[in-house]
Amino acid sequence: MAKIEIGVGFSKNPDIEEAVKEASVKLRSEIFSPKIDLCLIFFNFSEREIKKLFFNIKRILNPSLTIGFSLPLLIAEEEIFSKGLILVSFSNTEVTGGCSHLTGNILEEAEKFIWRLLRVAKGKKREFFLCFANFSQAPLDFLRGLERGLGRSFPLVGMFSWKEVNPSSCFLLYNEEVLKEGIVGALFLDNLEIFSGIDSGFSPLGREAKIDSFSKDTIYRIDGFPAIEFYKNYFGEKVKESSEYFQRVSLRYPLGFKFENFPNYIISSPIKLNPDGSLKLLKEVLSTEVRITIPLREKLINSVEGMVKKAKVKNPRIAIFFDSFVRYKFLKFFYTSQLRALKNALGDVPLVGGISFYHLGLLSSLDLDLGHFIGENSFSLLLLREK
Amino acid sequence: MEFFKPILSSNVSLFLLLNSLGAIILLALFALKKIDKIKKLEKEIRRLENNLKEMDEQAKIIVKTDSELSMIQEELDRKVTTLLALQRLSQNLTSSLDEEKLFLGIREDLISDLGFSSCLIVLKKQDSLMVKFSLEIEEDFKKLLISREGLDFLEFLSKRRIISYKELSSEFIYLKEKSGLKSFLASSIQAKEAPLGFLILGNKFSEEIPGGAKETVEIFSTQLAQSLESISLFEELYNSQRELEDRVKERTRSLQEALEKIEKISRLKSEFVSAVSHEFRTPLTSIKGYASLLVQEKFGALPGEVKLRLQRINQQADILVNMINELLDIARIESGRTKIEIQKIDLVELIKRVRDYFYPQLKEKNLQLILNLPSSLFIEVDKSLIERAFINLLSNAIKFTPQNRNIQVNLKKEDNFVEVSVKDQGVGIPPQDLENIFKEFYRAENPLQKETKGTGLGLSLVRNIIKAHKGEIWAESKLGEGSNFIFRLPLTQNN
Repeated sequence: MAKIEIGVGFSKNPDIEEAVKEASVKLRSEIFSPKIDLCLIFFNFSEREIKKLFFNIKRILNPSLTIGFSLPLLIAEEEIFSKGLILVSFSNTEVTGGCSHLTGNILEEAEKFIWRLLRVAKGKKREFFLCFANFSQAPLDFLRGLERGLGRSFPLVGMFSWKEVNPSSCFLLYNEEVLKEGIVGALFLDNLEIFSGIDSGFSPLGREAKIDSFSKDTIYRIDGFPAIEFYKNYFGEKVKESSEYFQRVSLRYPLGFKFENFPNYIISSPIKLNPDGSLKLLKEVLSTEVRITIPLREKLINSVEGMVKKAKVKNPRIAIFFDSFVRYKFLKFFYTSQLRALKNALGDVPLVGGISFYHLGLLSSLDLDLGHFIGENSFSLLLLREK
Repeated sequence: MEFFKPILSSNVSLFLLLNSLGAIILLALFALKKIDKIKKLEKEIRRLENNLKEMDEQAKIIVKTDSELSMIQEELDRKVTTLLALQRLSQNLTSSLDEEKLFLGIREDLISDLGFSSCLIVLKKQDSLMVKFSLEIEEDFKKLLISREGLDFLEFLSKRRIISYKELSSEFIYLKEKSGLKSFLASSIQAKEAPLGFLILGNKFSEEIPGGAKETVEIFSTQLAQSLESISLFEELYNSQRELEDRVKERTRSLQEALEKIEKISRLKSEFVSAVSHEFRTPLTSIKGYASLLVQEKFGALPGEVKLRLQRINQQADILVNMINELLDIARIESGRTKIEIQKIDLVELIKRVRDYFYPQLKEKNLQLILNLPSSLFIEVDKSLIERAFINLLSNAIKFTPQNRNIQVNLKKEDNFVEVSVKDQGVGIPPQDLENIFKEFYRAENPLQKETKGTGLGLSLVRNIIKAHKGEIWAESKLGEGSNFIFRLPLTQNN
């Protein structure tokens, strides 16, 4: 098979038709192959506008498979913008894609979706799975559904929007279909070398505490007391009295889980305070040793540079960067400093991505056999090149 | 042996006792040492515990400070974001003078940066309302607000300017429920004279209206009103300009038609004058010939009185012949029937030759003709026509200059032109006559004018000759001081 080609084009034009033309023409000029096997689209246009996108994508690029995801903020090179679109094309790449609605039993629907893809890819070597989703049910069920199909250690990268926390309009594209609640994904079956890493850059603070009892995604007791006491210790009675204040605090000061022989804390924000004082997380309890963590600007920025340095893929062809809205909120006007740092570390490698509320990643890339990971206040970096 | 048994036994006992005592002492010493060590360790543990507590206390202080700072930071960020969004909205609103394009500048992300999820802009057009922009607003609510209820709401808003959903009066309280929004602010879009419409900014997911939101909405609605007023003014201006342009076009067209008519009349007039003059000239030549013969008494001697009258007839016939000739020349030049024969001549030589023609008249009135001429100046002209023009100008100068004065002829070259001026010290021309003196049969009002004879066609002929050479002529004059006739001719006559 011919050499894999990856093309990138983006436009900040607020007029969707012009934006598609600009980005498509730029992308087309970068690649030699006439055939595009997959076109990824990250965009920020309304549902009304999005229908105008297909004609020019078809006319200029005519990809075999199109998958897209609307994002509140887009990242291209050192820029972050709220209106426009990013196109990424893969040529000479064997890839299979699909879509599914996620409105019923989300665990089963996600699992079935993966099985359908795997059936198409039967007998072929699978490299990694890239997916985007938008749903209103428990994210952990969604992740378990994917894991049942893919296995716990299969490379998985993606972004999703959970309607309970992000009720704003989010759309998915699959070829010329627009999905409001569902999943779209592409399973890469080619000789691609990937690096997928997750980190947050949050710094641990205060004493280490021990989780005495927990189940799945709920922490009941820390250091012999109801889990909320751990937060009360730092932030006072108000965390118990005001759910709004608790959510604010837990977002800014998430729990950091400690692992033996691993320098970084893996963080998770409690999303709910139960009446018995237990704390519900978005993901499973990862270890029993926890500390409070704090976002320090410099450390947040350094963490993305560190991730690139840690990557084992040399001379990648593209870097796809998914960041969380929480990190964006904390960096805000310094966000471009992070992108500059990331771009400096990457060199000439094209950088694209976006900011969403949640993203999925393979935690085992951090040398921990912990399976997949939902990051609500982390970032994911995906580096790709042909083997 | 038996004797030593008790002694031995007591010694052993003592030995054992002593040993035990020693061991106890050693143990006690060891225990004391250990206790001391334990105490030290306990002390160290307590110290470490205190350090840890202290560190934890410090962590609490750090977290508390960071939390407070982050709240301030977030508030600042929110305000900066709002201000930036307002600035961008303002830029977008002022960059268009087209109402349809104006609303394209109100982008979803900017509304979101203002701190709202939903936006509705309704404008009043004549007696009805129209939705001009909507973001995340339910269709039923839109329909409701462009109905009669919308007009009532606009009237209510125009008195209150900006209100939150909590400040709705009882008659409009139902709007909160119908809106599908958890919170909103409504403002009239107030122009100087009357409200142009209203604006609603709201949130679908939050009941809280952030601090400063009212001010934000006020700035937004004021900006919107100003832009809409600018557009309206521009439209008015544009329409009146269009109207003016149409009127100018119409006027130009009618002027063009009038000009064409005038040109046609002028042509007919020239043709008529030419034809009539031609017809006049033949009999006049006969009259003039016979009169001349009679005056010369070729047909016999004449009584003195008769001869005098005949001399007058002869003189008047001369004037009439001159007038007809000039009229014919003007008509020919105007109609383009005069063939202009361009040749390169020395203008200095021509002027000197003309001066010689006038030698008797100059002498008769004792006038001094001063020529300021270069040694030579070559120019492409029709020699006979330019000579004619120059004769006319010099003739006029001599005619209107009293005795013993000067007449100056100046000639100079300027770029691609020559400029000739004939300056007299005559009676001068009144300012109101200056612009008319080149018209046919026009004679300026001055006392000398009545005394001097002329056809009123000489200067008109000069102007036509100069025009035929792509030149220009004008006069400058001061009453009582004299006149200066200046003409400019191009050095070459291309085509």
